[in-house]
Amino acid sequence: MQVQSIRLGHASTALRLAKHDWRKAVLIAALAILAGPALANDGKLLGAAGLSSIDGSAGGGLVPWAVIAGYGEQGQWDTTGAVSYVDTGDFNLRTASVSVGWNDRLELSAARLSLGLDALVAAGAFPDVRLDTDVLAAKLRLGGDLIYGDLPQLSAGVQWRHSRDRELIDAVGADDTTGYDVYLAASRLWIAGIGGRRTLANVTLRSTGAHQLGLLGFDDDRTFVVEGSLAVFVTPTVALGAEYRSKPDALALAPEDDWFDVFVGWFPNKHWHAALAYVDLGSVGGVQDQQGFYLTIKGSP
Amino acid sequence: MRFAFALLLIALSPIGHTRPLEAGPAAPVATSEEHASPTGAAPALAPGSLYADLGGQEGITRMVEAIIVEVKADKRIAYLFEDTDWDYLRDRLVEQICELSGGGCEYTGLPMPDAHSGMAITRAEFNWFVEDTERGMRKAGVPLAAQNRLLALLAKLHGDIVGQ
Ligand code: HEM
Repeated sequence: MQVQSIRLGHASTALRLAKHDWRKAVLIAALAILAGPALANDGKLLGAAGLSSIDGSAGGGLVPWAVIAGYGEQGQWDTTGAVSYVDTGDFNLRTASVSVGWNDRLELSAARLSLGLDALVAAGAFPDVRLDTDVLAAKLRLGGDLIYGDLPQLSAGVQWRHSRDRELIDAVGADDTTGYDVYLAASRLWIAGIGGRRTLANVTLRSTGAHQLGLLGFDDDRTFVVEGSLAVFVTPTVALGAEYRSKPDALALAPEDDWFDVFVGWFPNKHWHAALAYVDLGSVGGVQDQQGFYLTIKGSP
Repeated sequence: MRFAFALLLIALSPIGHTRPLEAGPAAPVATSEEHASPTGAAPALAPGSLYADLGGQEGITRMVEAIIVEVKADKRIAYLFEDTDWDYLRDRLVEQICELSGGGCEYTGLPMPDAHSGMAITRAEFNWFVEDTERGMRKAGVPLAAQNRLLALLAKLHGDIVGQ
């Protein structure tokens, strides 16, 4: 393990304020599930709503897809809450998110990402606090369809991100505490795909200035990145898949690698989904070879 | 990371191979079945054809009956079928699925847009019908890959049925 020491002692007071916010975010996610619509909101086929990605947008675990959050079809709406946990041994990342999908057209989501720097803290290189970033996002379905017709579903999205840890952002040499991503995603689900099984493929093009999702701040210069997902429903309720998310690498102090995961997703019904993944995040915050597991649970009323 | 991707592909690859026919006993019956086709065309029973995988004429009939049970019980769409002549609808669906799956039948009912005109069937209702169809097929013992191959054919009719 290679730890690059970031001297931040003076930052701890400001950072500590954010410490309990994550729990609040989980509570809000739970309330969003309970307070969902009583109207019909189950018009999509099982699996067609995807999971909630780490940034809160509907998609795979790491990659936003063109699908609109929840099971609401045209003429319906649905709310979703999700929590996820990534642990590489050296780091852990908790996220909580809520989203609402309207008319299978528009998705709005909010997420709180909270990074624990276990290894850096243990090495005495960092105060014992978590780094938090908020993501507010919107996604619009432009056209096409996930399943029917000739064209894949095409959506455009924007993710506005704000890191709450200005002193860290300054210390690592990032330009800003706030930034935004814009992306275009194309998704298609073949009912009789690989082996006669439902098969979903997604490609996402993103323009971003975020260092590690914005947890380490933002660069003034934007980078184009490509992301992709492939998932096969080996049974009607169990999917196996893989995801890839290329990343900018614009921070000298903390080099960044592309992300990769393989996952098994469980979709027992339209109310609860869960996925367990093996993730390879490469170098994070100056610590190399970050592999670990990723668990996410999503609920809709 | 390449390694993990390779592992995934290996894990998935056996699913891609053709499955042995699970509908063995039903398939031969179909050739001798009297209502195979109004035109008397010989049903194509090539092994691995969807028609064979669905269990031929007998399998398709059993499957359609199971689907109808699900549709009738589905409160979300049952309101559309209040005046339905179920024997007529069953026979048309059997014909249509036989034809679509390569069984050599000829569908004698109304064209899809006419059959569903004035109903303003929504996208959600179409999907619910697909769910009932899936459940019926599963209960009738249709293998998963055959279920999905049939659903993929039915999905092509989406534009002719929704919003008519
Ligand atoms: C791909 C899917 C579908 C197929 C293959 C299909 C097939 C048929 C056929 C063959 C008929 C009879 C046509 C005739 O009168 O000659 C029919 C009628 C009908 N279908 Fe569909 N259909 C499909 C989807 C749906 C959906 C999604 C709904 C509603 C949720 C629906 C509701 C009806 C109704 C209400 C009738 C009229 C029944 C009656 O006579 O009372 N269908 N359909």
